[in-house]
Amino acid sequence: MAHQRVIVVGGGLAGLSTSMKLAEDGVAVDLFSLVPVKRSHSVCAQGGINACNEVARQQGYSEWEHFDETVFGGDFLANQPPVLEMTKMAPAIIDLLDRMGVPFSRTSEGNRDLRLFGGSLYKRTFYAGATTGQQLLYALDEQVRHHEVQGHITKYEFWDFLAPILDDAGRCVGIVAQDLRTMQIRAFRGDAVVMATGGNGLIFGQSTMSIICTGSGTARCYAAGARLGNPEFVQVHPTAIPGEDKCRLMSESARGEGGRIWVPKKKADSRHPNDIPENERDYFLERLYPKYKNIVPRDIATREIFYICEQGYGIGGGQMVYLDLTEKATGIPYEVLKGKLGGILEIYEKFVGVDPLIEPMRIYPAVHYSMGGLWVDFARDDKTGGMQKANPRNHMTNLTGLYAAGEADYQYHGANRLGANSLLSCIFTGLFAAPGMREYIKGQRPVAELSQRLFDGGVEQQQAAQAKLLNSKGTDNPYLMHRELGRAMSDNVTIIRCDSKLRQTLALIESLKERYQNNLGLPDSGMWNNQSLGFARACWDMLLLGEAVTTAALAREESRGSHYKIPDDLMDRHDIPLEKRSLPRDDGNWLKTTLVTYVDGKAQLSYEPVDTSLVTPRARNYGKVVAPAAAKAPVPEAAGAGT
Amino acid sequence: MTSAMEGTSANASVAPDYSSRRGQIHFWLRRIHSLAGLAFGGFVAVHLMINATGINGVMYQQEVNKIHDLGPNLAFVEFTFIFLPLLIHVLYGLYATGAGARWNAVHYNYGGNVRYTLQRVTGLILLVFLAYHLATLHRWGLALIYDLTHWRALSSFPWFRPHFAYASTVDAIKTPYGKNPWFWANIISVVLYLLGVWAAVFHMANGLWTAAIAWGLTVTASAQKRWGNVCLAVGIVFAIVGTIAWASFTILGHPAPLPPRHAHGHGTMVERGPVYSAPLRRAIPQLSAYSYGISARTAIETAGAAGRPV
Amino acid sequence: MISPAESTKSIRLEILRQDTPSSQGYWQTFDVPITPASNVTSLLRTISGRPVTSDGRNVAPPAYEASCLEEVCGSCTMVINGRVRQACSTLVRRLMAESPGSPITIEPMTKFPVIRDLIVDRSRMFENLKRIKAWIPIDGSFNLGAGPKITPEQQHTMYPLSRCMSCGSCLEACPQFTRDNHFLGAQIFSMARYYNMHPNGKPDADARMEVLMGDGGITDCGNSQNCVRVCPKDIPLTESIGVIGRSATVYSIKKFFSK
Repeated sequence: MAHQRVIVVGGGLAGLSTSMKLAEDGVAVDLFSLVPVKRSHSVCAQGGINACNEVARQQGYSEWEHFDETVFGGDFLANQPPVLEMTKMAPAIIDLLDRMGVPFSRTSEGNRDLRLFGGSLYKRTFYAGATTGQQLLYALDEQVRHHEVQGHITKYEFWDFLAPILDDAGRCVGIVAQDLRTMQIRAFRGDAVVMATGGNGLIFGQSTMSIICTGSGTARCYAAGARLGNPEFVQVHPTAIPGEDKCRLMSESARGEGGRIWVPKKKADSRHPNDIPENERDYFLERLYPKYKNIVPRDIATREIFYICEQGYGIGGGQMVYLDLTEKATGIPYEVLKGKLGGILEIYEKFVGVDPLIEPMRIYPAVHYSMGGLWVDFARDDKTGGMQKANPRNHMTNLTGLYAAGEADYQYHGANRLGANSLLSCIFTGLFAAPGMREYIKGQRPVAELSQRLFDGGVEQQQAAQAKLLNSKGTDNPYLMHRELGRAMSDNVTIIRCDSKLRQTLALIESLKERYQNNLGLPDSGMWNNQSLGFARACWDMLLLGEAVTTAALAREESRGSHYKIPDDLMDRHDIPLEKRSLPRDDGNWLKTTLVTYVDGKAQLSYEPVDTSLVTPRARNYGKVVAPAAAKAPVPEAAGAGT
Repeated sequence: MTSAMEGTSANASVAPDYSSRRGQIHFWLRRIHSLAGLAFGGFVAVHLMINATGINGVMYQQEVNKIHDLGPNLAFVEFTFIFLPLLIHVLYGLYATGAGARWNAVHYNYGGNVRYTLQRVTGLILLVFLAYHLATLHRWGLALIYDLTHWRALSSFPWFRPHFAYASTVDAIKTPYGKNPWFWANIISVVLYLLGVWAAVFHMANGLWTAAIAWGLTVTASAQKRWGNVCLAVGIVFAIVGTIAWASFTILGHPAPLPPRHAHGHGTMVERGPVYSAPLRRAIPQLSAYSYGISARTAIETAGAAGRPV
Repeated sequence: MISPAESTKSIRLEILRQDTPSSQGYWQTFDVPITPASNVTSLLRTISGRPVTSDGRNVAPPAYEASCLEEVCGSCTMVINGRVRQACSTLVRRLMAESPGSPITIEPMTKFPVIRDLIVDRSRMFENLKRIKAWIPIDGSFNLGAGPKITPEQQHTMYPLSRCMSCGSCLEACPQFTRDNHFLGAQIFSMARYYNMHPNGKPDADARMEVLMGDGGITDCGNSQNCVRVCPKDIPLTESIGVIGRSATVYSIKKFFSK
């Protein structure tokens, strides 16, 4: 086995945990990343990582509760065995991270501290200040560096994955990649290939994601025949700082630690927020969800914020609400919050210029996470209800030998991800799937023995495609085309969706694809560190993914989690509460996974059932109440139709 | 292909030679440099304090006498505690300053960086100054050559003469080029002395501050600030002391003419303190009382008995 | 997004460009529309969409590194108006307040080899991390229980150190760190301190000290303390330098007498 190698594409939490686990099991790893792995998007995760813990356990919580919350939070679209396996392993993952030296925040006794997070009534989120993702990534980065020094892992940083290489039988046997500096295109043999390339927020123009999150890794596999699962499910995070280049995340932990969301009761109130007295504020999430208050799951909080702004109650009548961390609103002293949330407070202060502990933050929802992604398999363990350990099927896409892990895959989060579950799922997938990969390559003919012709062919194909791009002499700049795509996707395919606008978006994507093929103009045709070329490629990938997301959204005739469908004629009826306008969840027809395949240049849909073998789907409304209490505030008439 | 290009594609940079022996030697040299600086700094402190007594020529003479009472041991003491530490400090300091550092206090004009730059600038100034100081004042400079050669051309140059400590110092500082000076030369000499004194004080106080970090005595920002304040106070005190010393031998220094050098050993000469201006004399009557006509005979006789040249 | 109506205000950008690692640098000027929220990466992004210089020439867009745009990834470090900064968090309105009326100058970092335009090769930083064994040597990823207890005080000391994103600002501003020497710089001293103080990192502490006291180690720190001033994450780098200095003193004595 010594001469067998696995290629891992992506150096975020999932890629690093996969690499680490493989290296530990004696499998040589070639790790590819667009950026030095330490700069991967995982650094942006702020709030924490979920796991059952002794404190919560003694209050009645368990791994099962964590599982149930995750499935419930995901509106039952997630296959349940993988979720169960993940939540069962979570406590051990925390211990492991602890041993690796992650500086988790501590209690006075020296134990790892816990905070409250969305979708749970128990404190089950471990954290390191407000930069948990960064801390976890660094810990894994260090482990991988240790393996690198020992020769187990070879890093290829500043390399762009271009395509998987498939043999005649359709097995993935390597990749074609490009050195972003020398622009050299090369084939690499891999007995298995793991895509850990994260989400695709950039197809929405601005999102909370890093600008490397174009989804191109996913798209290039999709174009090569890999299926996507549930791409229409895109998480819009309730609280971000709106921005022209990106929307900067304001972690859910701000609310978990006591932050409160409100709007003035008076429409277009022009007073400074600190001058608006308590009784003239509408803490609408607390009013509507007395049990979960400000930490209802993200899809719900996002829609409530959207709706209250639609009603004209947003700050100054616009699209923003207050996220209040001032001592006046929270009752928590300045220094305490500074200590717990320093990392995110700093971001707000640096980019907005206001101390959010003194003046409420102005925030609005922003695209944040791709629940959907590459479809991956799992092997159910009938004895435990979870997944079979070390089974090669776990996390393999429909292409033999091509795996996906982390945000790039579609597993675990269903229709909506709970806060602080993403760090867990990323690390879990790597640790859990790697032994299966090891078993898989044992049974395969080593790719080192395959003919070079196959690999040369892959390189030639990419070189030809590149030559075409470099020779394109049209007038459409890829950066501007991306802007057009992003604007349409943001406007039409995010918080609420209607068929007419989805069709409109598809038409736009169609025309962009055509323009791309006929009128693209690269601003740079050089062959040294040409960023325009890389971006132009990614631009095409984003068009493909945008099409897949929109096509799947158009087809899904229900509302579930982050996908919220409103009939065309009710789209602008702001007088009717959202719940009354939207299509209900439809388990009879739509409790199924969307599968998207790229056929003849188009997204083709099919479906497969969801594994709900552990808990039966039930109504999901987080105890929303009809609250006649606040007379002036917009009052929904009844509990949601989506329940 | 450049190394940068290779480095990017293979993710490896050129591995420098980190021979730990070389590094360890460097480490110890740096620490010895620090200790040497402390030792020499100590000497400078004493030196400045003694010279500040130059405000009163007699007191100064007494201090000088104390030192010269060491007799032949003086050379040993001077070598061990002054010249050897100085040599180490200077050699390593020159190496460290010249080792490819890129000063950038223009763009990064933070206090720490300005001090960092000044530490090096003052080091270089002091090098020039010390060379000048030794050459013009100390018997290891011109005086030594004169003693060895009795070269007449040198006879008109003044230098420090322990038994006419005050007056000879004034002459050496103010009129180092003898009877026929270029006007500005003497002024430059005087200014250079002030610059030298201040540079030394800064270098000493700031060195004290950085040494505490290098040895790990001050760790936290607040400790460094606290110790920084102490160093600042030390610096201010010595700047005052040093300025008094400088003033005593320059702007305040108007001693009586010295006897010719060949007239030594007869015990007839009178050492003179500074001749103060009238207002200052009125202000400090007790000082001015000492300023005139106090015999240095005793000192000279002692020196004569010890067989030393005067 | 910049709508045409908002694009009335613009600012002049002077960018130091360099086509290849071995070619000569040259300046190019761009006039870029701005909004109140503009930052330097957003300006560079705008130029990519319309790479036309002030004198109307179509040019290749300046190459630059950027990723998270919220100052946690460390990609977009560059020299802006003479000082090293993270381009994403450098707001144009603050630069304008800092030096009203003047154009914004953007240069690549000077202490690392230029790859192209504003992109430099910072692999030296990562190689140095290997040299100081920047990891906790764990017994594999098996389920072996929790790590050691850490007091909140220890955590308060360690956490800020662990926020170092290897951006290189401390090295760029350090007068002792140059392209040609071996100096490790504040980043490494601070990370070494982090691993040396973690209970599970202590086994390698002596090995780290050997490196830190070797060529290019703590010996070469000149205490200009620029590092701590330019660090975008406010990491107490000079404190780390003091700690390493102290450890070096103790270790050298220990080594002299008992090794």
